[in-house]
Amino acid sequence: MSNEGSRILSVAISTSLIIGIAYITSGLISLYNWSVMILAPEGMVKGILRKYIPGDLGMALILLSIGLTLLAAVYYKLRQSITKSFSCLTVGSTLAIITMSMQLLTVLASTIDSLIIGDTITVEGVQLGVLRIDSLLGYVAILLFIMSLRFYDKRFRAK
Amino acid sequence: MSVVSDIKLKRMKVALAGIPNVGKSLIFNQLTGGRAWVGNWPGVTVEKKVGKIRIGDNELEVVDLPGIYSLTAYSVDELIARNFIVEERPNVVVCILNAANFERSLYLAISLLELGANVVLDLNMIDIAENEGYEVDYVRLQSILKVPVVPTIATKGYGIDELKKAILSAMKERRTYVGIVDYGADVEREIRRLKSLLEELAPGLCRKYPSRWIAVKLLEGDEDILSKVSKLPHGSRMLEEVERSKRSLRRRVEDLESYITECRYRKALEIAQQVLKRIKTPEVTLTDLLDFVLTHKVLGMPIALSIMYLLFRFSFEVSAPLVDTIDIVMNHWLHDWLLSLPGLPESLKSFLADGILAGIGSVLVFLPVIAFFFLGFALLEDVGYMARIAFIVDKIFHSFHLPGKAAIPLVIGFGCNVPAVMAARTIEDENERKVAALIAPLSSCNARLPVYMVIAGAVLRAYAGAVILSLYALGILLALIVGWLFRKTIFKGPSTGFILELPPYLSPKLSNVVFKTWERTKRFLFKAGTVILLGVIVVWLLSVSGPGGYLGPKALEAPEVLERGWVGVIGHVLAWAFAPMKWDWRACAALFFGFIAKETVVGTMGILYGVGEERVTEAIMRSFTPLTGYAYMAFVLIYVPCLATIAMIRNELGLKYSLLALIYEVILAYFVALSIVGIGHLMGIR
Ligand SMILES: Nc1nc2c(ncn2[C@@H]2O[C@H](COP(=O)(O)OP(=O)(O)OP(=O)(O)O)[C@@H](O)[C@H]2O)c(=O)[nH]1
Ligand SMILES: [Mg+2]
Repeated sequence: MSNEGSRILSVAISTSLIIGIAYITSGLISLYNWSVMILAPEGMVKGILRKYIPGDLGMALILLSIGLTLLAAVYYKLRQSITKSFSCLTVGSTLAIITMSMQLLTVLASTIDSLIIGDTITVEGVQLGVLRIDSLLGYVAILLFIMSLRFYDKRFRAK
Repeated sequence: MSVVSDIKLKRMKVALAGIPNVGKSLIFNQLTGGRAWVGNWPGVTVEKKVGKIRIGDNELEVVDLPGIYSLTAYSVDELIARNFIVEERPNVVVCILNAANFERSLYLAISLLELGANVVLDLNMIDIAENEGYEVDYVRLQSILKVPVVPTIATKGYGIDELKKAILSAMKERRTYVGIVDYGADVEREIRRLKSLLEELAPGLCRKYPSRWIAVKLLEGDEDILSKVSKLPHGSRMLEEVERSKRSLRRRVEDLESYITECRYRKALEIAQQVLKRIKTPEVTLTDLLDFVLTHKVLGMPIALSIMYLLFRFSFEVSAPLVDTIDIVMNHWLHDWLLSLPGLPESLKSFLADGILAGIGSVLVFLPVIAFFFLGFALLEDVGYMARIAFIVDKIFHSFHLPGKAAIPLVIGFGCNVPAVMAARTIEDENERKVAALIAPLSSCNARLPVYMVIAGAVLRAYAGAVILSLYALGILLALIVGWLFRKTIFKGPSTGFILELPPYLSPKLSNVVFKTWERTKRFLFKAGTVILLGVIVVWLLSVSGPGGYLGPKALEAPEVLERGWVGVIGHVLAWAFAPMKWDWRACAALFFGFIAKETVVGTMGILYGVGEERVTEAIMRSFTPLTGYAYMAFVLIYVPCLATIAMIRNELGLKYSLLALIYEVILAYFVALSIVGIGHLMGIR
């Protein structure tokens, strides 16, 4: 493998480790917030960062899946399986970007919807949507995706 | 070799054959300008489809067939293809080869040549082969097989004109290569002996098929040919001779049947070695890279569920502006405009606004949700993810004694149950296929969605999303349990292994995705325009009249009057049967009409709950608790999806099984709804 290729991969893997942990943590928080909402509906327990990490089973599932995949990339790198590690990196970051896009699409749709039914649109509402954890982490994942593309060029296409 | 006049050409048939997922349907569309269903997973086509093709001044009939790996058919769809090729003997068989799955394609081509078919080879997917690093030397292939070979890339339309020309010249000049495989001196001697006997004893059969092919098939033990020969006047004599040949070969060849298959396969490998050329060092393909994670034993499942969740978000949340637009236009503007029309009699206004519009409008508002779902679904299907879902769940399905392939009907069922029942055709084992078709209706189709959205939206509010997802999960869980029960009782038998080939990931073609979304959405619209319209009219008529005679449009304004109508009678009778669930008589009446199609449930509710009310939602809120509402949705999920699905089960499996489906679904629905209410009460939920 070329030097540059391996450098890109190590940077990508370290990033992947950090983002992966962030995804897992937020997935767990979302899960916690969800159980708080279900078990203590009167708002007796506050939950953590509920504005940005709403309690939602589906969202928790996605965050955890992405986190697991990104950490699997680290795991396979440690076991010297470059191809497998690269696979996890690509799929994990792609899924993260799709999730982010879906969240942004949803924000856009609900803004248009408010216009149609005559609700007021608040800046805060849009802000919260755009900065929700699944979009926030998705922005970082774009970097990861670009790195994995670069690596693909260096490692698998150059011959 | 024979020469055919141009007049005869008009009545000639061209068949498109090939292994699953090589692009037969796409090529069919390119040739005929037709609209056969194309998707990136094996088993899309399960029925033959006929089209016309014009080449110059000639018009020929072209038939798109389901995919087959050989001329030995196991499943229903394969049988359709085999029978067409073997029984109807089309004048030209275009055998489509997958350049990226070459040996398997070649095996089929060889089988077709042995049958004496007038074969034109279409070497498709050369772009994918190239991406994977190799090339097929088609000129060499042509000289080895002695039939024309045309390279194509169906997605780009490349080579289609050449293919048309090749078909036309094949029409005029027939080329066959029956003796392509050499089975070794001993077997060949017996083939020759049987061949001359056949020509003498069964001349009729030899006119239809090459005698060499019949001889090989007899030695192979092909049931279809054996039964054909046994019905002939000298049949038993012929079969004795076959036995003699087998006996004399037994000393040299252990298992004659697999020996013959092996010879054919060895021939395919040998040819492949001669014509396949590596043009690049093997690189890791994108498909391998993606599949490592997407079919990973730990990561595969959570990712699949995440993708499903994203699909639902896409269809529910992103479509919201369109839903509200339709709602405003239909249920407010149009409604008010109709009521304000001068000069129309009150009863007609009421019929139009509170009957037809209320009924259809309550269903149509969900059109965008459904269209978005189909859009996302078509994307997943064309990328090639469908087959992976079947792969991932295979283990789980196996522990319920069901094949992984049974997942495909269930996934298709999320869209509509009717094609889902048909999709079970690709399952080889008879019993497994029947079970897969019978449980397919438990998969929650789009027609049930409006019911969930109306009721969950009204009574479960913040939890609506999670509740709706839980209903989808409940459907799949019940399908597995019912499937297991069926496999343990009525449809016993060994489970078969996993034999679904995973197609390469492809970037979806926009036109195809849009076309499929439109076709499926159109079907829903069409249903809204026919079944629901009719249902709504019937509900309206039964509302304004009752055992006591005509009640007048007043019935749709005053609940006390409505209760005296026929709907009231039906509703109250059913409400008595459903007493433990404490459902309102109007909800029960809606179930009655929902028997025809689930869309009518919401349509009926739209009329009945609208009586004397400002908003339907509030009326529904008052008549259901979260618990009874959930039980109601579960009932709607499970009891008969629609008459069209039952008719399809009858079509596929027969009347007996369609009745079985009907009965088990109603009983199961009642039982599940009752349990939900019961367990809920025990837990103190209301
Ligand atoms: N890249 C590429 N894709 C192709 C080509 N031909 C077909 N496809 C794709 O392959 C997939 C399968 O095409 P179909 O036409 O449905 O295949 P089929 O042989 O009819 O499949 P079954 O009906 O399931 O047996 C689709 O996604 C097509 O877009 C080709 O030459 N190149
Ligand atoms: Mg097809």
